[in-house]
Amino acid sequence: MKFGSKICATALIGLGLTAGGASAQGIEVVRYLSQETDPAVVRIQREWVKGFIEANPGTDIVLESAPAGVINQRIATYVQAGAPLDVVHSDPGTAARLAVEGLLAPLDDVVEALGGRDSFLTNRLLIVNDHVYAINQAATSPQLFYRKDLFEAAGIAPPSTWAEVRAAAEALHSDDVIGIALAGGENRMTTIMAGTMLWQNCHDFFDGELNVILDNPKAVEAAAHYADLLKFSAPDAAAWAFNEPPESFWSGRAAMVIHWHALDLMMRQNPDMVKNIGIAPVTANKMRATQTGGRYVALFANSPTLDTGKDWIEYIFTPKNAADLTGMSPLLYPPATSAAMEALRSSDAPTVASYGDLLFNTVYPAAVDGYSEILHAGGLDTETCELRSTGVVNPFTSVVWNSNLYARAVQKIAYEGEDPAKAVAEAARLLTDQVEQARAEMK
Amino acid sequence: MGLSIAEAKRRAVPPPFNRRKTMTTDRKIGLLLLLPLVVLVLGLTVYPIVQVISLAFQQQSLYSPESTFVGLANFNAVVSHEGFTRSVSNTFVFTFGSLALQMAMGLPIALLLNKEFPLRSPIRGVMLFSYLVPYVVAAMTWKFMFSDATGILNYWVRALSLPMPASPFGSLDWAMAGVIFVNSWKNFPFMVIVFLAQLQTIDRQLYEAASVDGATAWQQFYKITLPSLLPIMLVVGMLRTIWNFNNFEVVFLLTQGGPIGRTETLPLYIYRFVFGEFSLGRGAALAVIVFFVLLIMSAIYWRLYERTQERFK
Repeated sequence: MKFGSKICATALIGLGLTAGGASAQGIEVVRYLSQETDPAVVRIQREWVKGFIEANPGTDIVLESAPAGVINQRIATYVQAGAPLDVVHSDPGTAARLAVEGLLAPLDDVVEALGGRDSFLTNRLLIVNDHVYAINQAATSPQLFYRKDLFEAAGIAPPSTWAEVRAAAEALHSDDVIGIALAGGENRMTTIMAGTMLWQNCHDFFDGELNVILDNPKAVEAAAHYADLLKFSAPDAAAWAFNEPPESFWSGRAAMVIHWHALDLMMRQNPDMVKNIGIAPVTANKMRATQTGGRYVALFANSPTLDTGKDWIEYIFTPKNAADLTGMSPLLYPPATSAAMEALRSSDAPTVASYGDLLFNTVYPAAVDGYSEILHAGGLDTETCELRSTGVVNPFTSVVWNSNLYARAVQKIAYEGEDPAKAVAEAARLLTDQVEQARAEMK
Repeated sequence: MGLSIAEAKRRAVPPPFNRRKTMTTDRKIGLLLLLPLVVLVLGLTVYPIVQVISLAFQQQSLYSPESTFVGLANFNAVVSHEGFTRSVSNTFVFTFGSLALQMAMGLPIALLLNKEFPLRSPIRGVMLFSYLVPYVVAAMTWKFMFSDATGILNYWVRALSLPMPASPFGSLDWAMAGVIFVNSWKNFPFMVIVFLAQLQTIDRQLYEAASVDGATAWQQFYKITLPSLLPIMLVVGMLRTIWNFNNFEVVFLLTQGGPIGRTETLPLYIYRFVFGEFSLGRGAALAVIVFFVLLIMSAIYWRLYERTQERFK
């Protein structure tokens, strides 16, 4: 046999073996791109996979984890490469943009199978043109966590207004204790926290027509307040992002922290400290507003395994599976449906036993102050300072949360002493440019 | 019937070597064997570069494979962007600051390790440690050590009232020095390895002769060691310049370019365009600019290297 023929034959045999192996298996594989990296929660996800495969022979679920800050890049890489994606666990802004760009598959039948839209709690479904495109699996709102011992020793009551938080932070701040563990880096954590203060001050990034309205005295006042609070954060807060504030809090260094699930993490890291922690709703200024964040489960329209992907989403939202997740991390993954909320009340999960009263009396009721700027653009009335449902999906919030321009304005005020009005005006100008560019790029 | 002597000689001589035919077959096989590598190089190097250059002239969203030709608009947008000048300046400070510190750490240690002393071999091995540690581990280790909540170095800086911030990565004035230090700590063993290898090629008799002639240690270093190291210094200087210039991991993991852009280098700036502003076109335009800057810098190094070689011929 000639040399060239030998190579061709070898290649053909190789190809034949590969193709034969693949077709012999005949398994429908669904990739689940999740932003969950917490080992305890990943363990639950693995249990789900095991149960799903047992219940659905001929299927397989491949778990792929990407941390919260990286998942957008992973999704974008798939899209740019033209590679099909299946189920993703996206942040709210990205989910909204993907839905508006027509990249997601409708999940109406999944929602029907789970009891219909009415069975879901407020702000759980991403609806565009009357179709559900994503389900919020972690509709959480940040709370104010504080150390009871430090507050009692100083004779300070849990703060409920901006002025009280500042006074408490100043009173408790010392060489050994940080008054309030706040991130000051140019990142999403700072943007979210400063954005929450923007809402509390009765203003917003966008109006109902999705125009940027950041260049406003109320936005300046909120940024200046955040920058002022950073005086009572850590000396290296300028480099802090998501992890440092809760780490500082559960290590015992900070008196207060604003966070989503600090107590869930503490329950595992430092359980003895849990009884020493109090939770108060985030503070109010002109209004009490907090972010309804979350992680949206969605299915890509170009998935080659649409039906199995839908089956998988339905499976992870069934009451039993949802309860397992909530029991492990009740502050991060509150129940998605009323039935699941009731089931949690009778749960014997250690988290519920340890701080169930805080969950049911403080954390979950705070959802009434939760603002979903993704699902209800223009829903924060800047005249009356009230929250209302508009149903206008905003695909541009991802620009706010990724460009971190408002965080940069806070940094300039806090660390460079820049005039707050000038810093916010510059952020507003750049944000407008980027939103207009995104608008032009969208279909 | 026996062979004639002439016939036997003729048969004993092998047939004339068919050079042309054999070479042709060899060449074919050679080319065929090279083909996968050529395809690999074209696919992994040339194709992405061409793609990036093409993308630099397009407007394209991160979540859409569709694009529009926009000419030089992306280049204009990038060079007139508010942070462009600052990140160019930061990149040069980071690149040459790291290079200088890596040389300053690598050369004395290489000279020391070139001497005879007990336990020299294991100590040489230990010196490689930081080079073997992955970037993420190196960066996170230093970040934890200087962390306000848990950092041991943070504690000692405060306890001893040292004239530096306890958390340099969060300091406007010290963040750049901090990332340069960690990058240099991570990479100086590369300098040690290369310098040590070159030092071992220098003829000992040169030092003996210089010593006999009364040359001091400094004169020996200046007249013998340094000229011998100069060509290799230029080569590693070029390599480390390129690597430092393109370094993303250390800066991203330690400061993410902050605070307030104090450590935002060009690779992070590209990242910001692509994943912060969702603009692939602008990110690609900046990547093309970086590519050509590095080409020019490599050409300068190469010219210097050639001159040095000519000088020492």
